[in-house]
Amino acid sequence: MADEKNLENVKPDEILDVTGETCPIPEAMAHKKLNKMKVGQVLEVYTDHAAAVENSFPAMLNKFNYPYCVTKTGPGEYTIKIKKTS
Amino acid sequence: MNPYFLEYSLVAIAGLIFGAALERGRMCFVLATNNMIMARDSKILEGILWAFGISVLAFGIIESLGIVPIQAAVTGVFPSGWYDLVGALLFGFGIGLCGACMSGLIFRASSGFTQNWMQLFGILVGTIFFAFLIFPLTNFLYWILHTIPWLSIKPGFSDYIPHEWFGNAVWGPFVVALIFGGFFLVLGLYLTKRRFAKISKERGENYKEPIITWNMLKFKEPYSPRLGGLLFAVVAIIVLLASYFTVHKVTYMGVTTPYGSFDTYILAPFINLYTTVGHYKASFLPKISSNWFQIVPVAIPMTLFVITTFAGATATAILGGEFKWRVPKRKIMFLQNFIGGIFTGVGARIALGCNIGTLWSGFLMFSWAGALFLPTLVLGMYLALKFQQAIW
Repeated sequence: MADEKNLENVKPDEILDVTGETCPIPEAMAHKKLNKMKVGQVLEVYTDHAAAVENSFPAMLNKFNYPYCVTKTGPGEYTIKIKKTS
Repeated sequence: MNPYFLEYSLVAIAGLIFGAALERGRMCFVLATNNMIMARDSKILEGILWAFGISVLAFGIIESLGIVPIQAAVTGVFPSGWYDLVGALLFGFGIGLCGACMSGLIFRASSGFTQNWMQLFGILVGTIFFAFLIFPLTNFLYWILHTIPWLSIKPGFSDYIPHEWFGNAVWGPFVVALIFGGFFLVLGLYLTKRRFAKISKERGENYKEPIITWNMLKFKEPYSPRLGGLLFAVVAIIVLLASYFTVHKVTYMGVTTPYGSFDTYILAPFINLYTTVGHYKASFLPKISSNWFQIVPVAIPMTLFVITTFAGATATAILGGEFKWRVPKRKIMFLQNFIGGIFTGVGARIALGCNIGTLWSGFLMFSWAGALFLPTLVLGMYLALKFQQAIW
């Protein structure tokens, strides 16, 4: 559910920096962080693991039905904004 | 043409293709398993099942048609036994801690992930720990070969399923390939169909992913894992045929032996000293004449294969604009990867191979090694995932 043009300009409530780390750390830590956040809040994740951006994050976020948007910020660098909706 | 040159050239090309398939297809057993456990997502697993299914079927056809005669094929068959179960558990836990299997390690290290270089260093240390007689009680090779022979199947015909089931029938390999390879391929196709149906339902439109596109070939987007799987199978076939028709005996896929062999270069001046000291310290145990490094040669085609695999993965990472030296923000990840690497190295040596050399090649050899390696490998990866979810 990567609709989420609306999310691009939203200020995040929490930030998770997992640059340099590979699966399953980025998605596992994001999951843990989301569990502690309130419904409606937005998490911003910095990662440079393309395989997580292409596979693990979409799979996990689609499972929970959380809207998200991915922005490529540099060579192999990504920012993912995730809104906790339930 | 010089057959040595031909074999090494073909194996080098196969390595380049393998590296590209790994990096572009994100072919990692840990990634596939974690995605299945955490999100029930089968995308990467489908690629691995395609690789296993197509290659096993191809090997069955090649052997049944006599292109590579059965007598030649069995010369490369490993033994299998209890050590596959134990080794795979340690190996699975190790690669789970590092988030990269032995093939996933190559594409991540080649993309610039420094923590996976630390994993590689841990693997080398684990292999040394295993292979030398420095510490008599920790030399697992000694125990495997000399003290615990029970529950082991000998190499060659005695661990070749077609011979075990169908005697000398030439169609034996094809039937066994149809059972194992067919299972993998059908499961892969089913999971793809199920995933497409699920996405189609969510989006309210018919969803399909192409296996190959121009953008994939131009490195603008990653390969579909199914294309990665197809290339895996092509590489295994090239390695088999190149080895059989040139110099060496039949060679199956493997990457861990060359990893360990690199140690030899580094430690060659000390090997005799360590061995001597080890023999002295191990005087209460029966003597063995050599350590692992003196048994396994270094200058083998598969060492070149590993080098060109790294080169291929690095090249495609650069062409795809994804190469960058990446240092983890949390430096403790270096320690985690080093420890995971030690588990990986020790486990791989106990099981006489990794997820490529024992799991995949076990099925390619039609031996029991692959089937024994698989369940505890998955258990090890599962335990590592749960451990990390608990501590991080």
